[in-house]
Amino acid sequence: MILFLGLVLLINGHHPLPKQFSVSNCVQAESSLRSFLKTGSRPQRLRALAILNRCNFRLPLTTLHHDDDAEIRLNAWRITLSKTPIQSPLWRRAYETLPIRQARSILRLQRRTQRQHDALQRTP
Amino acid sequence: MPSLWQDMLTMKRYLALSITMSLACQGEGDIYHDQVPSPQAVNDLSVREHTEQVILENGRAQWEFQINSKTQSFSLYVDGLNDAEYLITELESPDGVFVRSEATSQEAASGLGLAAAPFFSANRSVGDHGGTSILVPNNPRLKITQGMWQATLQSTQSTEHTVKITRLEQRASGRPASIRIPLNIHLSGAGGIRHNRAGSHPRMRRALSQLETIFSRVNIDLEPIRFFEISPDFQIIEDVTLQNEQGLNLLRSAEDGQGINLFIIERFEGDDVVLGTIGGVSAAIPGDPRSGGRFSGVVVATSFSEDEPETDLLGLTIAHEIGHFLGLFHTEEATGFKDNIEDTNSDTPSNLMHHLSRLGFDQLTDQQGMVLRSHPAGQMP
Repeated sequence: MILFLGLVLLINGHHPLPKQFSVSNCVQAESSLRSFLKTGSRPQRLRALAILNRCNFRLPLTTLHHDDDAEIRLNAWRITLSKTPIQSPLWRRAYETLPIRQARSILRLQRRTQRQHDALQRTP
Repeated sequence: MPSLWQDMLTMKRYLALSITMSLACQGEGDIYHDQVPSPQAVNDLSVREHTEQVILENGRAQWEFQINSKTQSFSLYVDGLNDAEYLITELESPDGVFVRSEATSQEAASGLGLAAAPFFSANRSVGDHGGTSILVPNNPRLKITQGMWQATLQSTQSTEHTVKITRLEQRASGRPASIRIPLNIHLSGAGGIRHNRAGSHPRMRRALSQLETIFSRVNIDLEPIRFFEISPDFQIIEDVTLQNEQGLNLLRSAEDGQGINLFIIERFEGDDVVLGTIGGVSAAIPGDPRSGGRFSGVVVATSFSEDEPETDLLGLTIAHEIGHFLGLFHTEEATGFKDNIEDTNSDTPSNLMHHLSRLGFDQLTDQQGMVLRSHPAGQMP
């Protein structure tokens, strides 16, 4: 019996989130998750953002790039950059608009993405 | 590499299936006290360490050990190969079976695979990478009887190899009513908290005050508290399991002292697109009170919550992870799996060890207190 219905409950807690959610659970939770993304505490907003992203919902990333909380801005940029070519000027814009602690995360992501890109180029 | 016990059992991962199960198969011998023993004020609390080498053949080893009449609890720490997983699948006292390997049909359907029976045993046993650990008893109603005990260890590595097994026995004239545990806090500079000014840092003071409040309710004094500096390279930890080279180096960076080693980092930064959803992790359930081992500590991230008195979860997250380190499981997993402790089963949702930890979830029951005080990190108050 699967009792795991309340995705919204997962906005609390500090352990890793499941990798996948069912479509029906996502649909059921979407409105509450969006509400937490707007008005929750930082951990609630981050977990709501992660769940909405894993549910493949459209996210207000442009707005979140200008959020008051630098951790939210960082993660909005990470979602954007996960679908952005490595040559794009968006990478530079991301780390220039973030404080140093968060910008370092973008630089690490860029290096990792560059390595993956180079490995693909070498693959015959 | 095969993953026999599935990562979900480490509690550093998430349980994705859900099932409601009764605590089955508790009738295997006379292993329970009729009533939970009353804690006592003891003046003879000590910890004895025994180490032995055990050879695994075909991924399995069995060994025996003698338990003393004054032993109130013991922990086993298995140090094995980095790329293998380990699980204690059987544990038997002179009275009966504490951990069993045969699952009921209901347990077999739980999605936990070969780990189901140990997980639902009277004394829960879970697997881990590079080794494993177990606190006995992790249910206060279980009897620790003098005599010869027998254990079985299984591994995903089938080629013959040797592991080191350390047994730390807590000895006293009764189950201790109060203990003291040294807390060593290792600071990477995350959150602007530096070792030389940590004692006066407002956020650290707030967290320590919260820890004192939570653990003093179950008569645990976190004392002394000492601060240490570690490399800023540890501000970002890439593997939440702490089992890659960086994670192990972090745990090994604590050079000194018995007790709880707490590492303050900025964030866990793995392959997930969205970061910051993980607040903390214990290296094992139970953790190792000796410094420098693969299970020696808890790691907590400052960026997880805001540095605001009303919303800061740093102290609560540290307390929750210390709860795991000292042997407690979640009172209830997201899957519906309950712990083995009687007085948490009516489940007050405000329990510190609920999987949905959040502000105000800071309560511990009397029997949880007994488990915490059974950990070999405990010293005379």
